Parts: sequence; structure tokens; C-alpha cells
Amino acid sequence: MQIVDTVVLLAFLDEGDPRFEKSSAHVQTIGFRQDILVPSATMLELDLELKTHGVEDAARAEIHARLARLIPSSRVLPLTSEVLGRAAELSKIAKWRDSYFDTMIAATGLEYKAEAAITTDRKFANLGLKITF
Amino acid sequence: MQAKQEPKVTKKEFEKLSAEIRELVGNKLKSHKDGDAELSLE
Repeated sequence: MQIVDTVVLLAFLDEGDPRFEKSSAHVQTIGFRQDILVPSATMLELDLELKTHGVEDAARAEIHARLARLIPSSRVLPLTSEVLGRAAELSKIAKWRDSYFDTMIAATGLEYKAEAAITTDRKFANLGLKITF
Repeated sequence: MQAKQEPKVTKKEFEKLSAEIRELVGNKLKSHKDGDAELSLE
């Protein structure tokens, strides 16, 4: 099983991103492969990125209505107390700035026995997950 | 609770939905940098 990091969803939204083509392919596979899953923390970080960059509430609602077709709920891993506890443990080694969502995403992968994270962020290797892109 | 049937999205539907999503986002993420979301929490 592999989990999807937020960088994939962000690159999928930006045709100017050099990772756009591969990210689009990854997003497309989510609906077809049962072993590619999206942590709730990834969805939450994406929404916060949109909000932070000024995407209006109504537009965000429309975006999520469409994303729900591409990322069905059966492919989303929950953010449980076990995940949050593990993320807090990972915070001890995730000393870089802005590691909060990284630890939650990695903790989700570890709790659900993922082999790898689909990301270009090499810091995930420090949190116990292989990286693939 | 019974699991809801989730219809698969065809390639054509995927391209249509993706285009609609990108149009809704516009160019708002052009200035995006990793970690922006977390910085907004501070």
C-alpha cells in the first residue's frame, strides 16, 4: 500500500508545476487501485493551502465536490487518535519547520502499514516511510 | 452501516473534473511554497 502526500495533490492542481503530469497520473490511479490511499491529513492540508491562498469558500466547496469523485471516501484513511498519537511521537524526530502535517501523513502511513509515500519530499524517509513518485 | 457503491470515473470524466477543479483554483496556488498551510496556523 502507498499513501499520497499533499505535494501530489497540489502539483495536480497546477499545470505549471514540473510534477504536474506525474501527479495527475497518480491522482487518476487513486480511483482504480485499492492500494493507493489518501490520508485525511493530506486532504486537510490541501484544503488549508487553498484557503490560505485565497480560494473562496464557495469555490472550495465546489472543488471538494469534484475531488470526491476522484478521491472516493473508500480511498481516504481516517485521522484517528492512534494516528495523532503516533504523529506526536514522530514530532520528536521531525525537527524541521512546518513538520506538523508531515508527521500526521507519515503516521497515517505507518499506522496502516503503508510501504511508501508518494511524494517528492525526502523528509518522509526520516519518518520511516520509503519514498516513491 | 452499508458501504456506498462508488462508481469508477472514466478517463474522460477524470479530465473533465480535473479541468473544472483547476478552473476553480485559478492561479491562486502559483505562489505556493511547501509549508504555507502550516504557517497560516501560526
